[in-house]
Amino acid sequence: MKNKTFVFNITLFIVLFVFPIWGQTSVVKINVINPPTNLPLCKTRIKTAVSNGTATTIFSVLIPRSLELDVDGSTVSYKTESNNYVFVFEGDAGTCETKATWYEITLSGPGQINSGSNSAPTVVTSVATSPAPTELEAKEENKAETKAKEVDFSIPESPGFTILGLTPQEVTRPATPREFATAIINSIDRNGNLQSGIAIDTAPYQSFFGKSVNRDRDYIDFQDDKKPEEKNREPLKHYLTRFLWRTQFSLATTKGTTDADKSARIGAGLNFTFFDFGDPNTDFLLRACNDGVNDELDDQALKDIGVNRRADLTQALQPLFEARKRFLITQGFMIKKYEACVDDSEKRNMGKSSFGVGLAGSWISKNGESSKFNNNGQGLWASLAYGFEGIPGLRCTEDEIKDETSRCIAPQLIFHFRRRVKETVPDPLLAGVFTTKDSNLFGVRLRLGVPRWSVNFEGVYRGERFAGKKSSSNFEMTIGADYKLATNLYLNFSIGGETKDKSNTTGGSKVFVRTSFNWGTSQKPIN
Amino acid sequence: MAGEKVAKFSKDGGPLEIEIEIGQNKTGKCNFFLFDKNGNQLQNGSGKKTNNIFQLNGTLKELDGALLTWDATINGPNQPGQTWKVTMTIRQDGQAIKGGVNPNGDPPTFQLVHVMDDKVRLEV
Repeated sequence: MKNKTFVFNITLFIVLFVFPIWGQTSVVKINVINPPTNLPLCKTRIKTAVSNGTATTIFSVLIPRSLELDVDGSTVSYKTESNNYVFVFEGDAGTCETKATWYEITLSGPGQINSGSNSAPTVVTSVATSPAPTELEAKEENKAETKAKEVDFSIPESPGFTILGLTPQEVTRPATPREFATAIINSIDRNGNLQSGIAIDTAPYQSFFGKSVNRDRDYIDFQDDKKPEEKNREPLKHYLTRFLWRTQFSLATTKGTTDADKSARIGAGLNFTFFDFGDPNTDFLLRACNDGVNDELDDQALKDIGVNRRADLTQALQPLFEARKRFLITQGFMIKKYEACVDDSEKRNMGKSSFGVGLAGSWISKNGESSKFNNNGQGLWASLAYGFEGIPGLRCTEDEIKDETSRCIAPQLIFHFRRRVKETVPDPLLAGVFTTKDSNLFGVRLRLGVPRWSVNFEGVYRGERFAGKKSSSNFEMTIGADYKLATNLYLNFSIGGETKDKSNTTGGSKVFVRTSFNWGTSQKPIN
Repeated sequence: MAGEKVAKFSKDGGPLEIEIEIGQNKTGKCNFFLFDKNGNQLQNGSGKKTNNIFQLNGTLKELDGALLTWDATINGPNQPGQTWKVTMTIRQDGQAIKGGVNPNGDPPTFQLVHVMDDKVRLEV
C-alpha cells in the first residue's frame, strides 16, 4: 500500500506540476461520495460528464488499481484530443479487464479545460455524478443474486408431444406460449415401450410480427376509466392479435428404444389458445406495479443528481439523469422491486381460466430409419381450464399475493377431450407387428400449485379400437408433479395405473411411471 | 455537434407533436425533455402508455435549434434475451417531418428492465 501511495504521490506531482507546464491538460479533484465496500481488483470505471453549456459529453474515467480507495481527494488530469476528453493517469494501469466496482464522485476544479479554445467546455461541478456500468456489466454483477423468475410459469405442454401421446399428463393445459421453447422427454408410452423425444415449439406470430405489436394499440383494451383490478383482460377489442400471439406451432420427434418398438415418430401440430386469463401481457396489476417502480426510479435519479423537480432539469444534467437511472437499475434494491412485481404477477396468474384447441399430424418410421416415414394419422383436442375466479378461498387474495411468506395455493380444474385417428402402434398381441387404432380420450385434471411447483391429479377415460378388433375402453389414474429446478428447467414426474381393458386385447392392467425434463429458452439468450 | 441527429420542420406549418411508442408488446414509462438553444428547459412530459402523444409548446421560432431528448424505462419478463423497440416520431400537420422518425431497438437485449435514451436537434 505504501509503495502504491508513493506511486500515487508521484502521479499527483506529475499531474499537478508537470502537465500544467505543458499547457495541454487541466486538473480536477475527485471527491468520493459513496466509496465502494470492496477494493477494486483492477481498474475502476467512473462515468461522468463534461458540458460546454449546450452539449454534454459522457465518458468513462478509469482509475488505476494503484489508487484504490485513495482516489478520494486525488486529482485527475485530462486533456482534449479531437473533441474527446481523455483522463490521464500514471502508475499501474493494470492489464486485466475493468471490474464492476464503481465510485460515486463529484469533480471539482478550475472550471475550464485548458484546451486553448475560446468556447472551452466546463466541468460539471457540485453534482453527484454516478458511475454507470454498462448493462451487460451490471448483469454480470447481479447475476448471482438475480433469482430466476418467469412470468409465464412452466413451459406449456408441447402439441407435438400431445399427438404422440407423450406428454407427462394426458390432460394438457392451455396457456399463452413463449416465443420459443424446447423440451426433451423420456417416457414409457401407453404400450409399455420406452420413448425418448425432443420437441421445438414456436409462436410464429411473435417471431415474425412481434416487433410491430404495440401493447395498448394492438393487444389490450386499456380501459382508462377503470382501476387495474377492474379491467377486463379478455375483451373483444384486439382479440385477433391476442389469438395470433398465442398460436403455437410445434414439431416433435420420438424414438422407441426397445426391441418391441424401434420406431421413430414425428408430430407436427398447432395449438390455438382462444382465451387465457392468466396471460401476463394482460395483467394490469403487474403493469401498475411496474409503473410505480418506474416512477420511483425517475424520482430517485433526479434526487441523486440534486434536482428537486423535473422542471429544474437542465440540458447539462439530463445525461446524468439517464446515467443515474441506468446505474440504479443495476442495484439490488431496485431490482428486487421489479422482481417483486413479477413474483406477484406469477402468483396472481397461476391456474387461471383458459381454453385451447390443438390439431396435429403424425408420421412414423416403423424401423426407425429416417427415409421411411409414413402417415401416422391425425389428432384433434381441446382443453378448458377453470381457475375458480371469483370464488372466495380458491383464489389468492392480493394481500396473500403480496405476502412473501404466504403459501397460497391456486387450484385449476382442466377438462380435456382428444380424438386420435389412424394411429400406427405396435400390435398388443404380436411382438414386432404394427397395427392401427382410433381412440377417444376424455380426462379431468386437478392442478394445485404455486409458481415453482405443482401437483396434478388426473383421471382419464379412454375408448379405443384396434383395426379388425372390437372397441375397448379403460380408465387411468395418475398423480404427478412438476418442479422448477432452475431457470428455464422443469422436471415433470407422474405415476399411475390403468384398469384392465374390457376387450382384453392388451393383456391386463398396468402400472406405469413417467418422467420428463422440460426446458425453455428465450429468443436471444445471454450467456 | 458532429453526428447529432437533426429533424427539420417547416416554419410555416402547424405546431409540432411527438409520439413515443414502446414496441415488442412491452410496457414501460417514457419521458421527454425539450431544451432551448441555450440549454434551458422549455417543456417536459411523461407517459405510461405504449403510445404516448405530446404537443410541443412554444412557437416554431423558439423550437428552431431546440434539443429534444427522450427516454424510456422498458419492463419485460424476468428472463434473459428480451427484445425491445422504442420509436419517437415528430409530426407537423399530421405528417412525420424529415428526420422525425427515430427508432431505437436491441441490441442489447435485456432482462426485467431496460433504460434507453436518445436526442434530436430541431431545426427549421
